[in-house]
Amino acid sequence: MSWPPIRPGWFFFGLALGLVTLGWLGRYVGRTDYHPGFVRFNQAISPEGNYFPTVDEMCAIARGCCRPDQVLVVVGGNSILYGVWQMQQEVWTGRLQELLGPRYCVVNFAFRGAVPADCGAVVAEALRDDFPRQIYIANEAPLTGEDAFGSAPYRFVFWQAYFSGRTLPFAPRDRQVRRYLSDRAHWNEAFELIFKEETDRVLHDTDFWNWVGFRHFFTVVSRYSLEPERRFLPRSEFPDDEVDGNDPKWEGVHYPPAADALETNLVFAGARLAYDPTPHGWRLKPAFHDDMLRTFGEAIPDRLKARTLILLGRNSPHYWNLGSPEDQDRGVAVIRDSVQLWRRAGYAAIEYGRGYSAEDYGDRAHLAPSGGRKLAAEVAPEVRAIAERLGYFK
Amino acid sequence: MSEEAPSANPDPPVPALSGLQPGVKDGRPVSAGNGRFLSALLSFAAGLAAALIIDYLLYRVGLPSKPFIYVAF
Repeated sequence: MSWPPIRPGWFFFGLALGLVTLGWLGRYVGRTDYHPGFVRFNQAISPEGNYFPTVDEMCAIARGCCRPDQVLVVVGGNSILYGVWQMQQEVWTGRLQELLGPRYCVVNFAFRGAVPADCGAVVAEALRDDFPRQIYIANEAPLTGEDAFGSAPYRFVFWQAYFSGRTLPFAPRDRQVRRYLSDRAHWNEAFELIFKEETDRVLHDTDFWNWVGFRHFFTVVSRYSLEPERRFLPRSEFPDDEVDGNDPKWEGVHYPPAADALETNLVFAGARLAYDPTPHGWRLKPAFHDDMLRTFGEAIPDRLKARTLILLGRNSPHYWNLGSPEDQDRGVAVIRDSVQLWRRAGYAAIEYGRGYSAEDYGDRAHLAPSGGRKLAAEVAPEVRAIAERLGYFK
Repeated sequence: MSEEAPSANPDPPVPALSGLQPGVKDGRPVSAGNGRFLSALLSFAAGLAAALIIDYLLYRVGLPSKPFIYVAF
């Protein structure tokens, strides 16, 4: 053979050096804030765009935004707190930052469809030692609870923190995790998870390729790469495409008449099952009460509950006003009871949306910029009160 | 059939190298040292390329196979 053959020693040396170098690079970029001017994880840099931000990546963003002398305010929760119908320059968390002033640093880690125990909660928990003065804000629909280790689409963030030992021991959650992973139906997932998380812990491959995908070229097919010329574009070049819900051009889109019946049903239907009429008003059925109290109590580790603010919102008056007087009466009880249950479970909780107009919403649940400003005005005093209560400025 | 006459100027003897034979480039023999260097370089580069591919595959196998499509309720 005239061409030199492969020499195993050199090959394996190159392989080992390559993996070590990539692992080091992944670790390095994972701890570097490569999202300058971060506002939120828009759809191109979220699981909807096949981009899966890592715990390290989110922690680096928080460290990049927040000085050690500031109180870190992490906003988690779902599309309402993410700011659907709010362009990024008018997102409600920007207004919250203005109202709170320079002693606080607000970071928006909300994702569409996420629950209180998802991404933002995990990152805040992972940063508990770096930023002991922190407040976590999330929202949840009234009388709704999820697993303590998050919802399926965003659970990857929890798994990263869990397998790398960055979560607190919390018996109810640990019990749920053990039960989930030992269930025969999840064995395949458990095996893949352990393999993935263990290799990622050493090689930091997700951090490295996220950085490549954000800064240089993105290799995973998603709805953002269907056009050939955008196939490999780095995700940093995709704009946040949220629209302004107060712009008159969207007027006919907010409340399509054909959806009235369905949306109104969504506002009121859940409560019909959970409440009994009594001579003194609507009463939450004991089974629902106990189940909700337990679920809320297991959502966030005990040590972190006192610094957690849960927001429970009203739906748009457009649909609220379409409900019967009985539905509306019960609807008021639902929000009141949900706030009380979250408080009894150890959290701070408030209701928002009272007195908002239909124009403050972009649809049934999401707030337009005017509603976002009202939300920020309701949340800011609560954040200050929590900081005061926890002695953050003593 | 005529028998081929032995060459008056035969090729120089092949040195005994560990698994390597000298090549010929542009009509001139390439030394065994160059061959060893090229072999090591190629092997090292192949190892680096394999590391990159393995790293990328590990990243890709960790991604969900089903897309996440958000629907608001």
